[in-house]
Amino acid sequence: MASGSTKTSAPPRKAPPPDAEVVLVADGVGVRFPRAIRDAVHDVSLTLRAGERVALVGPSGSGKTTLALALLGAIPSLVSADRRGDVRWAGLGDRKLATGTGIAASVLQDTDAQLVALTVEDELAFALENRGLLPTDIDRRIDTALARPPGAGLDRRARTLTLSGGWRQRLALAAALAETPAALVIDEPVAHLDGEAAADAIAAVGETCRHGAAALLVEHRIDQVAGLVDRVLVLGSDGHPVALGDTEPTLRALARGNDHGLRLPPSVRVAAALERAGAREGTSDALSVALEALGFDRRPVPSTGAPLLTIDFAAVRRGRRAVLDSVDLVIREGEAVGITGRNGAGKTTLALLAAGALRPAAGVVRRHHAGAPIFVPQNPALAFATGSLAAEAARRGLGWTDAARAIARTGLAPEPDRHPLTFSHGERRRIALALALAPPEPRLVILDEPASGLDGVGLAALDADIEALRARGSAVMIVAHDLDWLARVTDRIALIESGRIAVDRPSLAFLGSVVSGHLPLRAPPAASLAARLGWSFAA
Amino acid sequence: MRTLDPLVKLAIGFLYIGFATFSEQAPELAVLVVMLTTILIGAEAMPLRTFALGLAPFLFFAVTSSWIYAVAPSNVYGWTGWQVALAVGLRTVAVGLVSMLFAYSTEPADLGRALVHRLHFPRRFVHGALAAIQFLPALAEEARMARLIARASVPAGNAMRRAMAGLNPGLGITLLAGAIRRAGTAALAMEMRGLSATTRTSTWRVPHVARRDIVFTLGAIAALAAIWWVA
Repeated sequence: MASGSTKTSAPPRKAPPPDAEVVLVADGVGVRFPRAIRDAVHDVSLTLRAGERVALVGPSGSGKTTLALALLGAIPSLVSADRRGDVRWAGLGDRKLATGTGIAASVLQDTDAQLVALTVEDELAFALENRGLLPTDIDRRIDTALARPPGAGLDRRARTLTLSGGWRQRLALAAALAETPAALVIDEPVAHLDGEAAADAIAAVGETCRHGAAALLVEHRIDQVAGLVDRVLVLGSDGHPVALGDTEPTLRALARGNDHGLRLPPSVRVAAALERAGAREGTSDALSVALEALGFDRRPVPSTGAPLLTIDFAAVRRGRRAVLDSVDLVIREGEAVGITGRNGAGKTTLALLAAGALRPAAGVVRRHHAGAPIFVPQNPALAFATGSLAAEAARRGLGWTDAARAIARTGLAPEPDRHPLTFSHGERRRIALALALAPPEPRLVILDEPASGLDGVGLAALDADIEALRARGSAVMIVAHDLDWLARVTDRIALIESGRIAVDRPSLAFLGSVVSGHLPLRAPPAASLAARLGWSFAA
Repeated sequence: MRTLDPLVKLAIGFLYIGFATFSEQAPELAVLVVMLTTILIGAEAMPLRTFALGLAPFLFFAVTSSWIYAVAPSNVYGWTGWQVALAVGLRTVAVGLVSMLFAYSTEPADLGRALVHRLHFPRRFVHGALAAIQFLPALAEEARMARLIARASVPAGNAMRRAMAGLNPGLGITLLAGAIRRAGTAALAMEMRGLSATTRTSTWRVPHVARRDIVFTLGAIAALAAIWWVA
């Protein structure tokens, strides 16, 4: 096995020539928010050339979004903060904001809130109208945006309100690409997309860069964009740059030493693991080392426990539309089951049905336990309905002592009177999970996209939490797009298509079916790599 | 009516609302209600369910604002209390139907562009209002999700507690915090996409008065005159 063979399936890179036009020069940039005792980011220097693709990566809270806003000029012109250092965009002159001018276009992290128009065409036209483009030019750009990924498939007159989260993210990306800017700055470009849509979106960004645009992709998941970018700028947890260089050598160096909480690409993880183990390529030892590095070394044992959830031929309707139809599912004690499928397939509806939040229009849902199921939604803020941690514990039937112990295990201070909304997004999810872990008896626990937005450290903690839940006999249902991760932490994976469970198989067999093309999902990078290394997915 | 200029429709709408406001004759108002209903359901093909849902608040106001005239009649005009109550109720419904017809046949973005480019309304105000329209269903969906999750946290078999869990006032704070965050992000996104740019904005899709708008205006005024004359 040659190290060069361990590449992800991302499109091939072609670095811009060294004499390409400089689009952005940032020198010694630092940002400090009002009343903050330390800089959010500091001492960042970066040059971006036409056609170049740079990933800005780092663990949660490292200041990636802050740096992107500072580079674009939104800090300090729109967001109150002190920006130091020098930021120069080619052609910007004395204007303060690089966006809205054709020089740079941005997609914010929260694409849900980024969409401001009521129809797809109005959303695509918004920035173009503001720039004063000719109406014929705007129409031409809208047509182009809707003819290719990520906009292909969107209806020009469709209401933005009716689009699923994934389609809304595609629209936000398409709107940025329609601006044909000199530089794209995109914060988590594929966070809400399924595998196929994410690959389309990455390909669309790559295509734009081949026509000369530079791209700065802000990601905590470097594995998603590593195949696209020429260079990576890594911020440490204190907002200080810890690495800047060509993608592959920089990531390999990180994999050998401190990975700074990044989710590194599978190829890089495997190469580093082989190097550490001194395993000879092509040997069975090397395969074992690679599988361990990819997290496929755990062979799930089928659960024989009693069922905690039985869904029997259930259907859910919303108005006249059937969201779920003829769904059968059983989850047993100590079992973790993954639910996956394309955006809008009905995954979250199934989770709500399992949690008892929705009543089936037909069929039966039985939860074989007196305790209420624990549902951790994609937006963890919605898991809290009271004004203090103590009240949240009481609402879940927990004593404060047990709840405080569970919260303390996450590293957060268990303050009974503190309002849950005063915690950050990631902290809220950890608290919601901690409260799920607190009851000593087995429960049905349902997690909707729990790995979304997590860095490597957060993901490792989540893995440990799921394992702890299984160990005490809880049944865990996990809704997610990331098949590599799902296969690592679950025993079975069910695929939902058009509101029906199309396939329900042991996780590794499911992954094998995806890689071999027998299921209509995009093969995830770690599984693809394992297959190329000659691993059989059969249990 | 969807292809008509929104500002012309707005002006005619105000004219009809003015007529309904100052008309004291129940027959006039009844003819107006019948005409507007016919246009909405017949010409504009509004689904009956949508029609009923849209009219419901106006019917509520019609009933609650008119019954007092029926039970406590005044002899100012020499009418019976029921006559006054009927006129007041029909007036409320007529105003509601004019509003429904305008909202149903007008694309908000077209109205926004017309207000900005032809009446010189501030762009921030108009686009902020359009963004707010988008947020309302999203907020409603978030509220539905929060209610469902709160109910699910109560063990089955306790129907009252489950129902009350969905009405917890703490959910309101959660939703309000989310709405404020979302509004802040939307404002930032709009500014970063050039909302406050000093360049002249595009005239893309700015509605203009066309011959059909003149025909519509004359027809609408003639219909009003006919109602006034006949009734």
